[in-house]
Amino acid sequence: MTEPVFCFPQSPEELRLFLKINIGRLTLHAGYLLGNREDAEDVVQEVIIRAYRIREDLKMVSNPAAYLFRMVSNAALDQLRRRNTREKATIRMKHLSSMKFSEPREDGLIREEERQRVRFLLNKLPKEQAEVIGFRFAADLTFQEIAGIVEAPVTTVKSRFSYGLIKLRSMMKEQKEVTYEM
Amino acid sequence: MKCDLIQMKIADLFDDQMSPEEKQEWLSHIGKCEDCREAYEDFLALATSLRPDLKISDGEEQINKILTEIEKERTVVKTLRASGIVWHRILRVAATIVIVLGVAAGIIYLTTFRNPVQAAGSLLEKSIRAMISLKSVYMVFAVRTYANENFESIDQTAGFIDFKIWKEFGTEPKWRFDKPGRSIIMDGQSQYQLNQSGGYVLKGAPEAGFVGWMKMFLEPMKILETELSFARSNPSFCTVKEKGDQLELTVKATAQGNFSNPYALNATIPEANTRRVYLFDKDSHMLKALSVYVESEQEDICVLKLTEITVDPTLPDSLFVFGNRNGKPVLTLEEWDQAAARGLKDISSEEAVRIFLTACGKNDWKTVQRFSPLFSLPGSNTLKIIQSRFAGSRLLGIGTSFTSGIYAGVYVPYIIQIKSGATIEGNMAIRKDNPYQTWNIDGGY
Repeated sequence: MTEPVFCFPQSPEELRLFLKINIGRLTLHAGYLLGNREDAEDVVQEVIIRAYRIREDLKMVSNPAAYLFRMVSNAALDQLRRRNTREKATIRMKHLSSMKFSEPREDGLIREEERQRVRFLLNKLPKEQAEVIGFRFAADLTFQEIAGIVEAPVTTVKSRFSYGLIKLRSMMKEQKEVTYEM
Repeated sequence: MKCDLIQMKIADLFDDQMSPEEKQEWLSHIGKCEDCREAYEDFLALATSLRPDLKISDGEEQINKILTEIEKERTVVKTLRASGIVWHRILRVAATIVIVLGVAAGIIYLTTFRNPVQAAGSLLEKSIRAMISLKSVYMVFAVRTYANENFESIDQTAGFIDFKIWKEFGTEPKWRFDKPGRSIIMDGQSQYQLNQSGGYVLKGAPEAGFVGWMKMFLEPMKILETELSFARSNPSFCTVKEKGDQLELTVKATAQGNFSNPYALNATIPEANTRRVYLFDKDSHMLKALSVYVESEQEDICVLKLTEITVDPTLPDSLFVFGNRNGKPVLTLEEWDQAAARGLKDISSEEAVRIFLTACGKNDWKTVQRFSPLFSLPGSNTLKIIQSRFAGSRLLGIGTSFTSGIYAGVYVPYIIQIKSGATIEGNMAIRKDNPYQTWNIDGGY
């Protein structure tokens, strides 16, 4: 995506070049959704191998990197859905625990709590806004690249990003005030 | 008074495309304005919090791992091709689905698409996106055909019977086709065909053509690619219409093959003039249903319907193994070929059929068995069927062979008088496209 690629790679050599540009961000994006590196790498690998298997079909896909980001999103979300109820419950508990700041924590833990809290609030935003913010900050995609993935004009993507971020900041402030009052 | 200028420019500040001069101008404002500085710092903190705390390497190791997996797949395919196992012969193999379409008139396209090609392209891309994330799929088709026929055979006068397909995607895809009388299993390494009336399980390469034309249903994205490629090169041959919350894609296909003799016309879906109607969910563009109609001057007859499609069902491993073959031996295609070596060669097709039917009349089953490995297999019912029909019969005449449709062999007309005195006319399907070029009888008895 930083270098124009107009066709999905048709040979291992082309694929290597393509991945050198994109694999880091694909993995970051998957990691952002899944929360750990191992699962992220597995999902990215699975998606790329599947896509390469049908590379002939993908010749007509105009933006293969954007296409793969969407595929990674789908695969990662699918994996999340498959995780069992107990795991989900644990995650929910984590979110709840992150809402309390009564005890002093080490820096790393505080950062992790803050991260989880932001993620928790991000999920309260409209899906389109949360998606754009995730792509921009987690996968470090440009607005143009995001526009290709979500199939919307760059101006729309930027609006979603701005409204989402302003709302997120507002929610963060509200929560901090509530926490301090407590 | 609070300054909220930054809120107007927030996206630009996080946009790498912003010019350095413009960015510097804004950072300068932020340096002076406390409200904007506070907001900007909050946004930066949010950005930091949203970055996954993952140590991502340069990806070289991950890339090598992916390429190794891909190389493994390529090696397997190459090996199978080199060994000659990939040889479609037993069934009529639908060649690459290159369908020749007639010109269709009165085409209606969705006004939301700028042009038909774009309509088809958009549909395809979204469908591929929907399909590529599939883990597994289960489909049920209702097909007008008979129990022991091949998977691609149709008969407009027959009732509907169910075809069931299970597919598990992955690096070694597994799938299973079931219809009454026949099952095909791909266990990730090989295909296995179990014909209930046969005395064996036939083992073929992963790419063997055991399911014929139906194979395209194993890759839902392939169905669309096949059909929509027409829309790209011949946009007037397909229509896309909006129907409530669904999209309807209609493709018209003319019969494949040579029909100077129409005998095989409408014998299989590829050999029929069909109208295929696909339904997709409008939002996800997921395939929801498919109906295939054989077109005729009087009335189009539906010969195939997709009646159920379940996405990502849990499929047990046991589905992809023949747990109980009832003691039937497994025969590879190579062994099948070796068995074909003892067939007859260097004679015409008509002469071969004459020898076959004469041998039937004389109850000379050893000669009959030379016309197909299938006739010699212990437990196979095929020879018994031939014996019950043709034993003691009298050959009245042999016609000139002809080709029809896409069948790789020829049809030889014959007339016999069976023991009851009745006269039977038929066309024996016979082919010699095996490595030994010996005559093998496929059907017509």
